[in-house]
Amino acid sequence: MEKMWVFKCQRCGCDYQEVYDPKAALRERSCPQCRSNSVRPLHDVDSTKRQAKG
Amino acid sequence: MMDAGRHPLIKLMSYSEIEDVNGYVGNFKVTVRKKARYVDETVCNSCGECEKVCPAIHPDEFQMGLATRKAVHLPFPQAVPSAYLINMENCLGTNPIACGKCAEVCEKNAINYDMQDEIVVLDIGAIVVATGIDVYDPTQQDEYGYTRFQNVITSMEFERLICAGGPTVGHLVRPGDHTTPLRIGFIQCVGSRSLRDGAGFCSNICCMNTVKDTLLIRDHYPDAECSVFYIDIRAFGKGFEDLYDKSREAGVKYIRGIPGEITEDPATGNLRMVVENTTTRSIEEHEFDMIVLSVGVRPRADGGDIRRHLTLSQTSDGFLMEAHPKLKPVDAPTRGVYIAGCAEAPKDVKESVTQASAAAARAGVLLNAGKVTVEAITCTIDNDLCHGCGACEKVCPYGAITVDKGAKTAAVVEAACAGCGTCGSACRFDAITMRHFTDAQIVAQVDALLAERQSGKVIVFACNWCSYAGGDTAGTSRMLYPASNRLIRTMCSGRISEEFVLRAFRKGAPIVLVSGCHFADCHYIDANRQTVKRVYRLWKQLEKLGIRTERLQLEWISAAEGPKFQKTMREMEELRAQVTQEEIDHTVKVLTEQFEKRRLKKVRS
Amino acid sequence: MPKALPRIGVFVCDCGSNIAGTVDTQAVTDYATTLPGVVAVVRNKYTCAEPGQQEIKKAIVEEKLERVVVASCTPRMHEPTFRGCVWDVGLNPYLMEMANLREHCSWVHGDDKEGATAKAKDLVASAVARAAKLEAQEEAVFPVTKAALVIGGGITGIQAAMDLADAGHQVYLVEKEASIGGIMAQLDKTYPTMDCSI
Repeated sequence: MEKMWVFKCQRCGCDYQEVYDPKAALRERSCPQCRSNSVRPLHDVDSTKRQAKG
Repeated sequence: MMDAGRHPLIKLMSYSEIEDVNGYVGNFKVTVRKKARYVDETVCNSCGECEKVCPAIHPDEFQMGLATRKAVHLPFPQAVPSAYLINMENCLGTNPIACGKCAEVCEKNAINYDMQDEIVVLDIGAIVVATGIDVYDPTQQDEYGYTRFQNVITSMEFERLICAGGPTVGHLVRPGDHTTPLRIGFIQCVGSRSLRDGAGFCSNICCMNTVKDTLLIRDHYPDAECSVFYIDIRAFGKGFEDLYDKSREAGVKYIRGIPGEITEDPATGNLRMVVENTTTRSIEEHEFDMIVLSVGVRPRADGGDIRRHLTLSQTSDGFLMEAHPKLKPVDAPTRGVYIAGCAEAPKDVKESVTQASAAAARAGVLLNAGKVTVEAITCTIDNDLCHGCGACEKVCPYGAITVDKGAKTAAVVEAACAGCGTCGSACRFDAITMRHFTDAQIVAQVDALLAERQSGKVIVFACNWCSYAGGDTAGTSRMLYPASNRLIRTMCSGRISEEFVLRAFRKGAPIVLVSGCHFADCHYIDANRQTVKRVYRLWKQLEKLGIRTERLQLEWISAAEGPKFQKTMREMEELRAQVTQEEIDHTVKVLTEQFEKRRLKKVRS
Repeated sequence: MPKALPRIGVFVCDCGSNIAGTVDTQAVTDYATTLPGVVAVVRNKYTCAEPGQQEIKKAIVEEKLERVVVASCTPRMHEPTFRGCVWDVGLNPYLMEMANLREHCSWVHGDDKEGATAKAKDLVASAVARAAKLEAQEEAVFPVTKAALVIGGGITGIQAAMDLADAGHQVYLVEKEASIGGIMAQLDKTYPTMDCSI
């Protein structure tokens, strides 16, 4: 399912959020700051909230 | 046009679109959708009775909206095929109660409201792509008031107004009050040579088109005054400078300077502008009866479909990329496909015709040869090792592999395999060999490159079509970057298996870059999606092993993106310089332990 | 026992001064002789030119070379040239490998001769290591369907279709709009001869 995910740029190190679905067809992504394609989906936004609560 | 319509060897399929292209050089299967015209073109004799009774009126696209047409219409008088069609979006309704007038008057019974789109599959050896361009729409450039002031028109609209076959039968009138304009201004480079308006390139044809227009005006209306506002007049072709001279001799004023804004006098509909004449360095004020925006061209907005079907690439400005800029100017990177005309770059009629003949000749070479050899880079499957897991079948973009899960075997259709190698990387049992890009060959390169002075090197895996070619482009343009990178070429980034990347790190690489084509450019349909999945998995694995994930980088670089290749290589060097020897030693140790553990497990099983 | 390495020949190209102006090609040549399996190394001014290709052919015959590495420009340019060259004297084209010392090295490291030379050595070592593992391949031959498709019925598509058809080929001319003619049909006159467009 499409959800808001936290991405981390492996080039400039910035964190940002973007819609992502690990099961759906991928699309080309780039870092909003440095334009690098080395962006890694870390976890969906909800799961951080859960982690924070836990 | 007529000749093409009646040539015995040309099958004309108008009002048709390419739905799908399969196959490979010399053996394409092309699916074409013949859209329903609702008028049988083989029967219609274009008598025009239907049009007379049709009550639905719509702006005529051919006349740039300066005249009207009916829902049932002939695209233009000289149309080929010379047959009417009904635009169903404009038609009042096919139900005889709603309208149905055209069918009533058609003596030939050519009108059929129930006509359906027809799907045709063609067997094709060679393909010429001549999809052309769009003309720039200046609506967004509001400072010229194209949509606000009636007497500001585009050069395409001018073309219809001066044409004997146009809405005014060749009498030049301005749209505001239908009077003949006697003071006409032309503004050049509208939508060209301006990054603000999204196109840095020169549209190539507009300067000479304006020169032509001024001569047409002076020819029809000797009293009319023309002024042309320009950045440069590019009259570079055969006979061009003569024509430009003729225009100046005819009294046309050429003023080097582009106005910032046009205003309208609401009482007269006349147009005013202030412009800096950069030749005389003075500010000038001008008033005109009509202003023509000399609009540039754009790559076709709908060009993406054809590009995807034929796996073609585009340059940064959106035009189709040739296989080689000098030596293969009309060959597409996909074998058996040739490109010509404005789809390749903006060009005028003569150049288009020249390139068309070149593309036809190149296609003819292939067709005359009658046979084609396919590079021996396809995959082979060892069914003794195959477990029938189906991973290869799942990732093959061409559906070339069929797995028999029961028999634990897989089979590949060699003619359908394009050799991307993504199956080879997906196979966990070493059952697939990519000919000429085997694991052993690639691993040998990794090992050789990392035999010594490892800490100074960035290992780059690059796909043949885009990122490796982007490196070539950087080279051809002499774009300097640090000498630390070491490229390993594969046909597609989908070939880059996780094992190769881990091996590079195990052999002491500080940084590994995986690079390929942009998603839209992938030469193997979508094989590079697998690359992304593998990199995601690798990042996860590196993290688990306590290796900084930033040491594995991913970048899409197209063949035209020399500057991006250069920038990326500079960034890789910066990242490399941050990796310490201790870090490398630790990585080597961790990965060697993991490797040994896995090897032992394999030996035991 | 490990299989004996194949006999590899390395051909280092100066490309005039295109490569040799930045890369110390003599140092690369000397280095290549030390690589495993390498039995012959030749440095040439222009390897792609006829004399350069003759050197390769001569060495294949005289040194009984089983693999050839050409260290010159991008394989995207001259791979077909050198594949044809080795095939002329009976070596399978897939046993030829290239190292890209020009587009990927000398032309982009003009400010770092030392770095460029070190990189060139690595690229040659990588190509030699790969060459040792290369295998002969047979190319499949497929028939060509004798029909052409022209996509787009503007002036370009019409001309291409006419030329192909006049040459005797079956042509399918596919046009999205209801008539062929494209933008050209909308023009009044065309420059520079001011003749009618339709």
